[in-house]
Amino acid sequence: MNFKRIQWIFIIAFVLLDIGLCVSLLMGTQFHNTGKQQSQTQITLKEMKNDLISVGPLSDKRRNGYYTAAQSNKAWTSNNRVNQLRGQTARFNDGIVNSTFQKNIKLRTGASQQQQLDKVVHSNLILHGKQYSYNEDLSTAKQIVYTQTIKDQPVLDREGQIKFHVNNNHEVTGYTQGYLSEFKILRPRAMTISQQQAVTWLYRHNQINNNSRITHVIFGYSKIQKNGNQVVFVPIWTVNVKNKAGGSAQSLRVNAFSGIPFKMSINN
Amino acid sequence: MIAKFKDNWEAILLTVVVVISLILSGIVWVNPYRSDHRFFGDNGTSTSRQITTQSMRDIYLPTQVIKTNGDQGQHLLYGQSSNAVLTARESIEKWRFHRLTRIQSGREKNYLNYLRLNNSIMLSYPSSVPMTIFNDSFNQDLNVNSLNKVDHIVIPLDTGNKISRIYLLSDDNFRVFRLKVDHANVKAIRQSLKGGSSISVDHKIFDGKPIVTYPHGVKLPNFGYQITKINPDSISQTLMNNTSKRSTVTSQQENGHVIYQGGTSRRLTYDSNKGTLDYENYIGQTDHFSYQQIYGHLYNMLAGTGVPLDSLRYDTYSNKNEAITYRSFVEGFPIFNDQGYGTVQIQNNQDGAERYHFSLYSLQVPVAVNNKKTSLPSSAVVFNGLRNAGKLKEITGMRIGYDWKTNQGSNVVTLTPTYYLRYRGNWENYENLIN
Repeated sequence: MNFKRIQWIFIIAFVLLDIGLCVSLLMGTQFHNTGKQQSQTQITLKEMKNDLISVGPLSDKRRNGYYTAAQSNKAWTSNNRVNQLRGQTARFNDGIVNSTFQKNIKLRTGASQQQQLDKVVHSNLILHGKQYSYNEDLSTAKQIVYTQTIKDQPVLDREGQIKFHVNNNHEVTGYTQGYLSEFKILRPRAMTISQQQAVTWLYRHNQINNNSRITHVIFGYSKIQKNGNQVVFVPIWTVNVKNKAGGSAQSLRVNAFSGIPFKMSINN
Repeated sequence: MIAKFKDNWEAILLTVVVVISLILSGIVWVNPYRSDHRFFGDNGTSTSRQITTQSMRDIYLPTQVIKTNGDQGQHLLYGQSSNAVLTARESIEKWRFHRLTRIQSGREKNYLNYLRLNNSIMLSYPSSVPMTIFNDSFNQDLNVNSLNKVDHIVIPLDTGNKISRIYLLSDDNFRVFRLKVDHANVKAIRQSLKGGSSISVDHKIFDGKPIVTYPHGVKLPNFGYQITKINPDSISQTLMNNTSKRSTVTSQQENGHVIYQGGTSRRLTYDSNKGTLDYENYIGQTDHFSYQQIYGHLYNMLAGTGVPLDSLRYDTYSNKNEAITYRSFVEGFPIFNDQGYGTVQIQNNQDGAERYHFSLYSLQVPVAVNNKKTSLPSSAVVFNGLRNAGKLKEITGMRIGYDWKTNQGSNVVTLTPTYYLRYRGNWENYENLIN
């Protein structure tokens, strides 16, 4: 081997070394940081897959949340008042209006449920109806749900909801209604956990059974504290889980600020 | 000459690539931090990651928002429901800065002019943070060698919704740095300042450091919280099982104290009368971290405690003890309790042991309280009171904070505002100092 050839081998070797060092420096600063956390969640999602838990795509975006106070007054209306509502037989008991329409409201196929019912809810057939909005995630074939909202997010407790009963002929027969008043934001905006975090944390707390399907992961508000009529709402994630074998469903709730799970039955 | 160059060009090329490889190796060697981010991100301890709702970039955010008008009149803002600090971060993390240029240092008067920059918004940390922490929180990559720590971020709002510069200020030697940015949009920041309340403030150099003063008496609201209590048993499990070396935890009771022992090196002492916890982990050899790295390391330890982080923010760093105090804040104001509730102190292992000091109690869930406001005197009155009590000479800092009065019987607390003074190195309630 002559000197020239050795020199060339050295040049090539050092060029390769330089490229290697450059790549390691750039990779280290640019990608290492976020990569690690991503993979942690990915690992948990993989583990869930191995446990036969199916779940659709989940968002990793954190949401805005607000601690909010409201009045939950058991006497927000009266029997006298609800008796005057037209076209229905209504009773008021324990803070809830129970009403049956004198003539069922036929839901036409083709037109959206929401458009048809919005006309009813936002009319004077329903007390404070304008404060409620349609919620697709909570509605089923048997029940259509409207909720009051906190910063455009639904109240997930029945105190802030209207539930319309639907019979087998797609007719709305009546409704139950709870009502909250005097919403007041207690603290400035804070960031909540993401949909992905809510599900993976529930899983790591062994709250999600094997061989089940996660049907909905809903963001909204639920009461965390009650002091007389005064209630405090906190943002939560509600995770609906269905057993693949049997039909049993459960609704798991996670405090979206603290990440602490708590259990509640689906028909709250 | 050129002929010579032509003859030896291979040798020259070889020299060049060798020199480049030496330089690159040198960078990797002296700057291991850059290629090793193990102290960063949301990860807690590497083996069993703690679930935390507040990532490092949330814990180390500025807490105070001060708006300066055209005539240098300043107002401290609070209660803006959109949260000006979060909004500013969401804007700044999208900006790409050119480079840091030092525009002045060492001159108090000029520094005050930047703290009081006309038509600006200033975000301030409770005390300095390393540049790496600023970079992490605001998704930037600024050179830590030009400016090693930051106290204030000043955003000028005098040129409509597009701005071309911001300033980073370091109280250490009164340094002001300018950052150029192309057409940064400040519309969202402007919007976030609307609503809420404000109090009139000013800046003054006190004991060689700028402090916020209150030239007129102020009225501030009370805040209510439900007290959250954690279980000492579960804390001991979290602390002692967070490494690959799992050890059985034993506990023994001893006149009002419960001592949890994990293996031979870990000990948690729970004072059941006060509700406070002290944790020590004897490691043996010491861990060394640079100023730029230690904030990340201490955050990871904090995340491993299992303490709720919801209202916690970084408050102060002690260089001597290599320790950080994390404190609860309400709407940007620090919360103080005489038993230390609502604060967590984390001390790095510099003498063979890591030490944590914290309590079972924290504030997470707010409750509505009556709209009563508490009136506070101007800071001039406070300084006079201290002078009369003969204590002014030992004061090194002042701020308005909220007092969490310990009341064992109740699980709801009403926080009231008052002045706090840094007296002999500790934050003390003004009333206690003058009586």
